[in-house]
Amino acid sequence: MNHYMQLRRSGLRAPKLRLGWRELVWAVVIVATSSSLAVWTEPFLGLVTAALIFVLGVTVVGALYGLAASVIAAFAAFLIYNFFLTEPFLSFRMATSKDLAPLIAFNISALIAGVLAGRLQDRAQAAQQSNLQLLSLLETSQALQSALQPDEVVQQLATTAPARLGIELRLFQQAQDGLVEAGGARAGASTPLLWRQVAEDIWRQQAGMHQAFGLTGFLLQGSSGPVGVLVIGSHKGVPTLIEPSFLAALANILALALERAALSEDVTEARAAARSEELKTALLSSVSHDFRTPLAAISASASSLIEFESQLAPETRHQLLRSIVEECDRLNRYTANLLELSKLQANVAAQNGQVVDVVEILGAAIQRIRSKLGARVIERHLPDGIALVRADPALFELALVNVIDNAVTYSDDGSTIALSVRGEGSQVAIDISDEGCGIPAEDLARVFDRFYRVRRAEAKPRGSGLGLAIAKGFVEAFGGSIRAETPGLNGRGTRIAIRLPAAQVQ
Amino acid sequence: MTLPDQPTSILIVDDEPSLVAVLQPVLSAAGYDVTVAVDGESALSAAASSQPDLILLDLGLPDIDGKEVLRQIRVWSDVPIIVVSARHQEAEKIAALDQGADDYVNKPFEIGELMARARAAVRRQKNARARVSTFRTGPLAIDFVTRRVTLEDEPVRLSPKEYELLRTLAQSAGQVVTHKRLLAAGWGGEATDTQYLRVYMGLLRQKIEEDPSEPKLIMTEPGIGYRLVARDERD
Repeated sequence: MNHYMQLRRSGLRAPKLRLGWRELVWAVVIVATSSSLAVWTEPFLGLVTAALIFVLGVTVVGALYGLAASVIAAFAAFLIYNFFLTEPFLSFRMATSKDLAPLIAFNISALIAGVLAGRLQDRAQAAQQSNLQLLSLLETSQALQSALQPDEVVQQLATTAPARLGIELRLFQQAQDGLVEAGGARAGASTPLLWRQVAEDIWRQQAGMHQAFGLTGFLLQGSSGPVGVLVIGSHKGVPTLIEPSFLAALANILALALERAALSEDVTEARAAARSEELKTALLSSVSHDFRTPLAAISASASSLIEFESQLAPETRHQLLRSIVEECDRLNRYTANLLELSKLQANVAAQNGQVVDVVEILGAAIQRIRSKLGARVIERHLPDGIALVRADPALFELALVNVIDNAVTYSDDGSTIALSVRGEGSQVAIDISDEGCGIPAEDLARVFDRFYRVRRAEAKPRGSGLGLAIAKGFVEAFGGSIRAETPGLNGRGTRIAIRLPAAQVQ
Repeated sequence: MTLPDQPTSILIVDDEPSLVAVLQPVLSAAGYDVTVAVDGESALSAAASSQPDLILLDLGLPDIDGKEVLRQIRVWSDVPIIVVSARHQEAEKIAALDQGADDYVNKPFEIGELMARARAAVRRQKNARARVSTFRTGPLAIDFVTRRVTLEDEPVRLSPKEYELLRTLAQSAGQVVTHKRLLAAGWGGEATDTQYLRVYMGLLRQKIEEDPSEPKLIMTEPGIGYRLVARDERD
């Protein structure tokens, strides 16, 4: 409690004894004025009134400039009084003991006035100081409200209270290898040993407050245990006039802010966990549906071939075998989509960007989907030469396969699917339009959501709800955009409009 | 009787019993002499002892990395090796091709696709050894000696770089040729960006493809390279 008391003592000022030049001059002026007035009026108003005027002057000096000034003024007033107003006139000699009474009265009143004035000034200064502290507390707490991470808390702290009050604060927090000083701003500079010592003592003892080496440390208590240690020292060793209660309040605010920052981090993590949980659930339900459907077809075909091989017509047998291969292809594409989805989720797609030719990748995508086209006609509007963009080639192909596959899945056999590639300013525009059943206006934005399928009355959804989500994830990873529009082609169907930034050819 | 481009003995290196259980009887029925190795160590010893005409190598082996098996076999043998890999592992495939694999097939594959790749790999090796001077696939013919390229018997004028690219593809017809190899063929040792390759491939396709946007001869393997279609009797 040593330092605590020291702070307390230094906080209560001794009566003011030092006197500045300006104050002395003013004291002289006041005493001279009051003395002249007294000497001038004495013949008309009498000695008592003159003495009162002297006392008035001394009191005013005391009230304004403290004890020292008032004593000097009292003595000066006594000399003048003695010189001009008591017999023998114009001499300092004291005639009678009666003449001493004014001297004593002057000085007693001067002392009282001085002490009172000093106390008043102390009060005023203390009030100003505590006002300042309150203000800085308020400012700190306001600044800390916007701090959502522990590092921000420290930064805000460094820019508010210390600058104003001439104190230095260091915050220590628990890390894997013991206490470390928090705050990116000071990462470069090492923590002074004494500060660390104080912080570690507090942490070890779990003491509320601890003082040593002229430093004061506070254990920052959160609602579920200590969250760190705040160590406070005066800036460059200059003594401060700061109330310990203020420091304790500062520590409290800081503890609250740190806890809030920790909670906010927890909430962010919890949200991310909830989202990933949501994704997992959607994934599971999708897997159970989209894996089982082709598996059921494969199982039915294969088991029929085993059971009834001899009874089946050759065409039927071939059809069953064909469907096994097709369903395998579907499963394969689905797993590829799932894998790409996880890649997009982990944000690694953008790392594999290369300059690729849109027309070339589109050609590869058509090749891949050709067997599913049936009697559908592919109409192409392509630029002469090549259209370069930066993209992950395999992912780009998959995204295009997904979009074209959708166009095929949701359109009738014999209808037309139009593919167009063209330069549009600094972008390459890729449009895939079909004459299919289209997308209801309210679903246009949602079709890109993961596992979202447009509800249709006529039949069960045939897609996995992953294709367009991957197309969107891909396009966004490479700085482009994707939109669904309706109608697509010849007043019917859907158009998927993809825009990717054109790559600069060097 | 085996077909000219057909390997007679094949080593399957795969640790998945269900896949081996299908491949072994089917390949045997197709007339191959099939050996199976279920891990890297036994693959290395089988490659040395049975001297297969072709190796089908799964990259994911229980003991050694498939690429390491590839590297060790390449130290002493130029036997055609086809790598089996999952579709999304582009980097893995490129690494295997750079280390001397002839080609790759994506898992899952159709047996016809696998057989076509196998034939292409064996044919390339044979052609390289015999130093064949001409090549033909569908309407496209190349005379490597006169550097003459014809399409439906009509001469096609190619720039030197275009010709080098086409020649490199033709010498590995039916097999994937990586961007890296094509860049080396067209631009020598100079460090060149793949976008030049795309530009020249675009030009080449305009000269030899009926519809460059839907190529029938030079196929794109996104992210890996190009494959010149080999029209053999089975395709």
